[in-house]
Amino acid sequence: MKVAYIFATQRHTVSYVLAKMILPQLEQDRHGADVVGMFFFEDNTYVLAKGNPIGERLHAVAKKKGILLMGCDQCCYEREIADKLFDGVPIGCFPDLYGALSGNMPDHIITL
Amino acid sequence: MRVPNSPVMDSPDPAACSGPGGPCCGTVGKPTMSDYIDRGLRRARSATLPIVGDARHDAGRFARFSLRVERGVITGVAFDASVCGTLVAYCEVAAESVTGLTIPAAARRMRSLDLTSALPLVPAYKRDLALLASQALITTIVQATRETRV
Repeated sequence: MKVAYIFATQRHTVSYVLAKMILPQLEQDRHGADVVGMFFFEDNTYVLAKGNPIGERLHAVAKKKGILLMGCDQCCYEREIADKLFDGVPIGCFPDLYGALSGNMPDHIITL
Repeated sequence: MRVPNSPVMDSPDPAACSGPGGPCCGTVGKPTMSDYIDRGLRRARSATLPIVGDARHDAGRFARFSLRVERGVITGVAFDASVCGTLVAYCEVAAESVTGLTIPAAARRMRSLDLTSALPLVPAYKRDLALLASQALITTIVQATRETRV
Protein backbone atom coordinates (compact mmCIF):
# COMPACT_ATOMS: atom_id res chain seq x y z
CA MET A 1 0.00 0.00 0.00
CA LYS A 2 1.33 3.42 -0.97
CA VAL A 3 0.52 6.47 1.10
CA ALA A 4 1.26 10.18 1.07
CA TYR A 5 1.10 12.39 4.14
CA ILE A 6 -0.07 15.97 4.24
CA PHE A 7 1.05 17.75 7.38
CA ALA A 8 -1.64 20.37 7.74
CA THR A 9 -2.17 20.83 11.46
CA GLN A 10 0.25 22.45 13.86
CA ARG A 11 -0.08 20.72 17.16
CA HIS A 12 2.55 18.01 17.66
CA THR A 13 2.26 16.87 14.11
CA VAL A 14 5.92 17.18 13.22
CA SER A 15 7.64 16.98 16.61
CA TYR A 16 5.62 13.98 17.76
CA VAL A 17 3.74 12.14 15.00
CA LEU A 18 6.46 12.55 12.41
CA ALA A 19 9.59 12.61 14.57
CA LYS A 20 8.62 9.96 17.10
CA MET A 21 6.37 7.65 15.09
CA ILE A 22 6.62 7.82 11.32
CA LEU A 23 10.28 8.75 10.98
CA PRO A 24 11.74 6.09 13.31
CA GLN A 25 9.54 3.50 11.63
CA LEU A 26 10.80 4.54 8.22
CA GLU A 27 14.38 4.47 9.45
CA GLN A 28 13.82 0.92 10.73
CA ASP A 29 11.90 -0.22 7.63
CA ARG A 30 8.85 -1.12 9.65
CA HIS A 31 6.36 1.60 8.86
CA GLY A 32 3.99 -0.85 7.21
CA ALA A 33 3.26 1.19 4.10
CA ASP A 34 5.29 2.64 1.28
CA VAL A 35 5.42 6.39 1.80
CA VAL A 36 5.67 8.06 -1.60
CA GLY A 37 5.34 11.68 -0.53
CA MET A 38 5.01 14.21 2.26
CA PHE A 39 3.66 17.72 1.89
CA PHE A 40 4.03 20.35 4.59
CA PHE A 41 1.87 23.35 5.35
CA GLU A 42 2.38 26.41 7.51
CA ASP A 43 4.89 26.11 10.39
CA ASN A 44 5.39 22.46 9.53
CA THR A 45 7.52 23.70 6.62
CA TYR A 46 10.29 24.59 9.08
CA VAL A 47 11.16 20.90 9.22
CA LEU A 48 12.33 21.21 5.62
CA ALA A 49 14.78 24.01 6.38
CA LYS A 50 18.46 23.15 6.40
CA GLY A 51 19.75 22.63 9.91
CA ASN A 52 16.51 21.31 11.33
CA PRO A 53 17.50 18.12 13.21
CA ILE A 54 14.28 16.27 12.44
CA GLY A 55 14.53 17.47 8.87
CA GLU A 56 18.07 16.14 8.57
CA ARG A 57 16.85 12.65 9.41
CA LEU A 58 13.77 13.03 7.23
CA HIS A 59 15.80 14.24 4.29
CA ALA A 60 18.19 11.31 4.62
CA VAL A 61 15.46 8.70 4.77
CA ALA A 62 13.55 10.37 1.95
CA LYS A 63 16.61 10.27 -0.28
CA LYS A 64 17.20 6.63 0.56
CA LYS A 65 13.60 5.59 -0.09
CA GLY A 66 12.71 7.97 -2.90
CA ILE A 67 10.07 9.82 -0.90
CA LEU A 68 8.92 13.12 -2.34
CA LEU A 69 9.18 15.99 0.15
CA MET A 70 7.52 19.28 -0.74
CA GLY A 71 6.68 22.46 1.14
CA CYS A 72 3.72 24.71 0.50
CA ASP A 73 5.17 27.55 -1.55
CA GLN A 74 3.22 30.41 -0.01
CA CYS A 75 3.90 29.06 3.49
CA CYS A 76 7.64 28.98 2.76
CA TYR A 77 7.62 32.45 1.23
CA GLU A 78 5.74 33.83 4.21
CA ARG A 79 8.36 32.38 6.54
CA GLU A 80 11.21 33.42 4.22
CA ILE A 81 12.67 29.92 4.08
CA ALA A 82 11.95 29.10 0.42
CA ASP A 83 15.64 29.40 -0.42
CA LYS A 84 16.81 27.64 2.72
CA LEU A 85 15.35 24.17 2.26
CA PHE A 86 17.31 20.94 2.00
CA ASP A 87 18.82 20.35 -1.42
CA GLY A 88 16.32 18.88 -3.83
CA VAL A 89 13.28 19.70 -1.70
CA PRO A 90 10.91 21.78 -3.81
CA ILE A 91 8.15 24.16 -2.89
CA GLY A 92 4.83 24.13 -4.68
CA CYS A 93 1.08 24.17 -4.49
CA PHE A 94 -1.48 21.44 -5.08
CA PRO A 95 -0.96 21.20 -8.86
CA ASP A 96 2.76 20.78 -8.23
CA LEU A 97 2.13 18.12 -5.61
CA TYR A 98 -0.24 16.13 -7.80
CA GLY A 99 2.12 16.51 -10.74
CA ALA A 100 5.06 15.28 -8.71
CA LEU A 101 3.08 12.31 -7.40
CA SER A 102 1.56 11.43 -10.75
CA GLY A 103 4.35 9.01 -11.59
CA ASN A 104 3.97 7.18 -8.30
CA MET A 105 0.44 7.72 -7.13
CA PRO A 106 -0.42 6.83 -3.54
CA ASP A 107 -3.38 4.64 -2.73
CA HIS A 108 -4.24 6.88 0.20
CA ILE A 109 -3.49 10.47 1.14
CA ILE A 110 -3.48 10.95 4.89
CA THR A 111 -3.86 14.41 6.39
CA LEU A 112 -2.22 14.89 9.74
CA MET B 1 -4.05 45.17 15.78
CA ARG B 2 -1.90 46.38 18.63
CA VAL B 3 0.05 43.66 20.33
CA PRO B 4 1.12 44.84 23.79
CA ASN B 5 4.78 44.38 24.67
CA SER B 6 5.64 43.08 21.24
CA PRO B 7 9.17 43.80 20.03
CA VAL B 8 7.76 45.93 17.24
CA MET B 9 5.63 48.13 19.47
CA ASP B 10 8.45 48.51 21.98
CA SER B 11 10.91 49.70 19.35
CA PRO B 12 12.96 52.43 21.02
CA ASP B 13 12.78 54.75 18.06
CA PRO B 14 9.70 54.17 15.90
CA ALA B 15 10.44 57.31 13.90
CA ALA B 16 13.63 55.73 12.69
CA CYS B 17 11.65 53.44 10.44
CA SER B 18 9.13 55.93 9.09
CA GLY B 19 7.75 55.24 5.65
CA PRO B 20 6.29 57.55 3.03
CA GLY B 21 3.26 58.12 5.24
CA GLY B 22 5.27 59.14 8.27
CA PRO B 23 6.27 57.27 11.43
CA CYS B 24 4.69 53.89 11.64
CA CYS B 25 4.45 50.77 13.77
CA GLY B 26 7.99 49.79 12.91
CA THR B 27 7.18 47.27 10.22
CA VAL B 28 7.70 49.48 7.19
CA GLY B 29 10.34 48.11 4.92
CA LYS B 30 10.84 46.39 1.66
CA PRO B 31 7.72 44.44 0.67
CA THR B 32 8.04 40.73 1.28
CA MET B 33 7.18 37.96 -1.11
CA SER B 34 3.93 37.45 0.80
CA ASP B 35 3.07 41.14 0.36
CA TYR B 36 3.39 40.78 -3.39
CA ILE B 37 1.33 37.58 -3.38
CA ASP B 38 -1.42 39.22 -1.31
CA ARG B 39 -1.53 42.34 -3.46
CA GLY B 40 -1.32 40.23 -6.61
CA LEU B 41 -4.21 38.01 -5.60
CA ARG B 42 -6.30 41.13 -4.94
CA ARG B 43 -5.32 42.62 -8.29
CA ALA B 44 -6.09 39.32 -10.03
CA ARG B 45 -9.65 39.53 -8.74
CA SER B 46 -10.14 43.01 -10.19
CA ALA B 47 -12.01 43.62 -13.44
CA THR B 48 -10.31 43.31 -16.80
CA LEU B 49 -9.25 46.70 -18.18
CA PRO B 50 -9.91 47.96 -21.75
CA ILE B 51 -6.61 47.02 -23.41
CA VAL B 52 -6.22 43.26 -23.17
CA GLY B 53 -3.02 41.49 -24.12
CA ASP B 54 -2.60 37.94 -25.32
CA ALA B 55 -2.34 35.26 -22.70
CA ARG B 56 1.08 33.68 -22.41
CA HIS B 57 1.37 30.03 -21.45
CA ASP B 58 4.21 27.95 -20.09
CA ALA B 59 4.25 24.56 -18.41
CA GLY B 60 0.55 24.58 -17.69
CA ARG B 61 0.51 28.09 -16.29
CA PHE B 62 -0.70 31.27 -17.93
CA ALA B 63 -0.67 35.02 -17.43
CA ARG B 64 -2.59 37.76 -19.20
CA PHE B 65 -2.48 41.47 -18.47
CA SER B 66 -4.85 44.27 -19.28
CA LEU B 67 -4.22 48.00 -19.12
CA ARG B 68 -6.08 51.25 -18.82
CA VAL B 69 -4.31 54.07 -20.65
CA GLU B 70 -5.34 57.70 -20.25
CA ARG B 71 -3.62 60.43 -22.27
CA GLY B 72 -0.74 58.08 -22.98
CA VAL B 73 -0.19 57.14 -19.35
CA ILE B 74 -0.87 53.72 -17.89
CA THR B 75 -3.28 54.43 -15.08
CA GLY B 76 -4.37 50.89 -14.37
CA VAL B 77 -2.94 47.40 -14.65
CA ALA B 78 -4.84 44.20 -14.07
CA PHE B 79 -3.89 40.61 -14.68
CA ASP B 80 -5.31 37.15 -14.73
CA ALA B 81 -2.90 34.35 -13.97
CA SER B 82 -2.72 30.79 -12.77
CA VAL B 83 -3.01 30.71 -9.02
CA CYS B 84 0.61 29.98 -8.27
CA GLY B 85 2.12 32.17 -5.57
CA THR B 86 5.36 32.71 -7.42
CA LEU B 87 3.73 33.66 -10.71
CA VAL B 88 1.24 35.96 -8.99
CA ALA B 89 4.09 37.70 -7.16
CA TYR B 90 6.06 38.20 -10.37
CA CYS B 91 2.98 39.55 -12.14
CA GLU B 92 2.34 41.95 -9.26
CA VAL B 93 5.92 43.28 -9.32
CA ALA B 94 5.62 43.79 -13.07
CA ALA B 95 2.25 45.51 -12.73
CA GLU B 96 3.50 47.89 -10.05
CA SER B 97 6.59 48.66 -12.10
CA VAL B 98 4.70 50.15 -15.04
CA THR B 99 1.76 51.82 -13.33
CA GLY B 100 1.93 55.58 -13.85
CA LEU B 101 4.38 55.40 -16.74
CA THR B 102 3.83 56.42 -20.32
CA ILE B 103 3.68 53.54 -22.78
CA PRO B 104 7.21 54.13 -24.14
CA ALA B 105 8.55 54.46 -20.61
CA ALA B 106 6.77 51.26 -19.61
CA ALA B 107 8.32 49.47 -22.59
CA ARG B 108 11.76 50.69 -21.56
CA ARG B 109 11.10 49.74 -17.96
CA MET B 110 10.15 46.21 -18.91
CA ARG B 111 13.26 45.84 -21.04
CA SER B 112 15.46 46.67 -18.07
CA LEU B 113 13.37 45.13 -15.30
CA ASP B 114 14.85 42.00 -13.76
CA LEU B 115 11.98 40.36 -11.97
CA THR B 116 14.17 37.60 -10.59
CA SER B 117 16.30 40.16 -8.76
CA ALA B 118 13.17 41.79 -7.39
CA LEU B 119 12.16 38.56 -5.69
CA PRO B 120 15.42 36.86 -4.66
CA LEU B 121 13.66 34.39 -2.36
CA VAL B 122 12.27 32.45 -5.32
CA PRO B 123 14.18 29.20 -5.84
CA ALA B 124 16.06 28.87 -9.12
CA TYR B 125 13.75 26.22 -10.56
CA LYS B 126 10.77 28.61 -10.34
CA ARG B 127 12.44 31.70 -11.79
CA ASP B 128 11.27 30.89 -15.33
CA LEU B 129 7.90 32.19 -14.20
CA ALA B 130 9.43 35.67 -14.23
CA LEU B 131 9.83 35.35 -17.97
CA LEU B 132 6.20 34.31 -18.36
CA ALA B 133 5.04 37.34 -16.38
CA SER B 134 7.26 39.82 -18.18
CA GLN B 135 6.43 38.46 -21.64
CA ALA B 136 2.72 38.66 -20.89
CA LEU B 137 3.03 42.29 -19.82
CA ILE B 138 5.27 43.23 -22.76
CA THR B 139 2.75 41.86 -25.26
CA THR B 140 0.10 43.95 -23.58
CA ILE B 141 2.25 47.08 -23.77
CA VAL B 142 2.76 46.37 -27.47
CA GLN B 143 -1.00 45.99 -27.82
CA ALA B 144 -1.48 49.30 -26.02
CA THR B 145 0.98 50.95 -28.40
CA ARG B 146 -1.15 49.78 -31.35
CA GLU B 147 -4.48 50.72 -29.83
CA THR B 148 -3.49 54.17 -28.67
CA ARG B 149 -1.61 55.14 -31.83
CA VAL B 150 -3.33 58.10 -33.50
